[in-house]
Amino acid sequence: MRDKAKNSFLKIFKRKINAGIFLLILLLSILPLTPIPTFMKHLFILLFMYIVLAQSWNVIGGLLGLVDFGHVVFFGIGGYTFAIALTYYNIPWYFSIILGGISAVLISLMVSPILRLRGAYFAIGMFALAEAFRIAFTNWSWVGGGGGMYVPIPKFSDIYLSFYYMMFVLLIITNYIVFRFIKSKLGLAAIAFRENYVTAHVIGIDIVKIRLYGFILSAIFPGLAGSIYAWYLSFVNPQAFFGEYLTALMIIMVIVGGRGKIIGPIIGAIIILILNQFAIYYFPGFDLIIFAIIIIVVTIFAPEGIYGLLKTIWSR
Amino acid sequence: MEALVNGVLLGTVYGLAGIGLAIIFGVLHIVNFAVGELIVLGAYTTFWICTLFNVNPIFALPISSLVMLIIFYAIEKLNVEPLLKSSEFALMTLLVTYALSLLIRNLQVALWTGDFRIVPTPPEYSFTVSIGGTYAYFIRILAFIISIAVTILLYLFFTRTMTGRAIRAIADDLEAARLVGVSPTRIFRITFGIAGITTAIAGSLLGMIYPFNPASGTVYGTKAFIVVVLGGMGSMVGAFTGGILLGLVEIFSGILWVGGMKEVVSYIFFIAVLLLRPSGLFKGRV
Repeated sequence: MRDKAKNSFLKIFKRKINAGIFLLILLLSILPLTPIPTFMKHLFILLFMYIVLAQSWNVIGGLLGLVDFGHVVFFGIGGYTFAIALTYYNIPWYFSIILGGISAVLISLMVSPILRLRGAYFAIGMFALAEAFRIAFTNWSWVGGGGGMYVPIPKFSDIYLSFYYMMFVLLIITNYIVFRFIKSKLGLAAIAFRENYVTAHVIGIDIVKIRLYGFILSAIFPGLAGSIYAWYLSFVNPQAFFGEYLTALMIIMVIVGGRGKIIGPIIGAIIILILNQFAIYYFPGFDLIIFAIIIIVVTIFAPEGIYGLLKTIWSR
Repeated sequence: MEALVNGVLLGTVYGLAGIGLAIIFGVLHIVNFAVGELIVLGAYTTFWICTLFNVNPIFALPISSLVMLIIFYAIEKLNVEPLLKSSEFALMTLLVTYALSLLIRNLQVALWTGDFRIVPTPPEYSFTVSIGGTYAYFIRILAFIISIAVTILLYLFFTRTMTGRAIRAIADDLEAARLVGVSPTRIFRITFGIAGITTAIAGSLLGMIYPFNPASGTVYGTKAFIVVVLGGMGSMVGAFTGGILLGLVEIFSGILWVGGMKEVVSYIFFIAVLLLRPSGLFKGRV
């Protein structure tokens, strides 16, 4: 009797969540048509990108239980592929963006042997990979070396509006696919492996396959985001596209929001975006120092992030 | 021949830098991702002591060792001890040390700018010594002698003293060591302290040989990891041998590959080592 009541409650609750998500999407898609300031549109573009990046890191850091200190590599590859395709080969922009995603996937396949490494070795390996890419692109004169290269400015009538919608579409696709992945058999198997790898091994979970799929999935979205962002900035350079800054952002957003849950990175991205804007304005140059302190404090005092905190408060 | 001599001279310093990483991993199973930044912090400490008080860097070494010992102790106390009960200890400490590397590097930039510095050595030290038909800088030989001396002292400490044996016991089997009355918390603190001393000395010696800036942390960190991975995680002798190996590889590759792509090669070499020999070339205990 009680179970039945609980079930029906869950059903209504789920329907409410679905309705809420639908409303939110509707609201966000008409928001840029209202006369909000350009700066707000810019912030939303950044927010969408941050969520996409954090959600991708979440697949590796939360679901697969690996720590990745060089995930920015896929973002950079996407950005540079887009810039090269559009500038040097005059490939149409929509196809160039897709090319950015494809090349990120190709790189993730090429470096997938790194996935065989355990824990810290994987983290350090990815870090070394990102640094290798950054230095290689800094010394590669064809793509402008350390100074970077310019990308033709998009010929849209309203640039901010166009990029808002581009990032928004990417955001919805990313969250939907990551959500499906978490709820799929592979995602559940990954959680089982993360919780208890001996049992997972015994019941025959093929972790190599899951890790490979997760890795590819977490590479494609940063690749696409990098492409769009490269065009939005009309500029790519090694420091912005392969530097440690974005990796640090992805990690802190997931840690602050809560690992392994779909809502975690979203909460984290919103908080960090706001904090970041304040930090840039009031403490220029100190933003990474503040982030580092936040990572340390959150890992020690609230390892499950804000999602975990809210859950404990709610269940009390 | 010249490359061989210089490779060995430099390699011992790298080996010393790797030992700090190796003993922390051997005893606590923590991968200290901030090792490079801490090496540079050691170099800065000696640099400032030498510049502000105008002393010989050799006499500044004990002071900067003490400073780094206190910093490492604080890191252990504030960041590692609260995590000891965590179920995901390895992952959490990795994240915390990553954050520490960000924190230390960016603080260094904020406080001391990105300018390159070098630990000032007295002008009378800048002569060369002939070894087996080739010449080497006296400073490098000095660094070699200090590194060897510190390594031998550490080896004696680990094999001859009660505390050293207790550290090895903890590294070997934590539960058994606890049963015979060794306090893990105390040993963890001492381990971090020793790592602080070796890091300070290695950083100061590197700072006398090469100019450094906050970004050098990433480079030295990668080198320390290469050293430790080559030698096998957690093995002190392995780290030392790995150091000499890296010194040789670096000097020889410096002759073969010139220009900025050299660093890319070293990172790819590192990833290849990780993939091919994840357990290191030598297996052993602290």
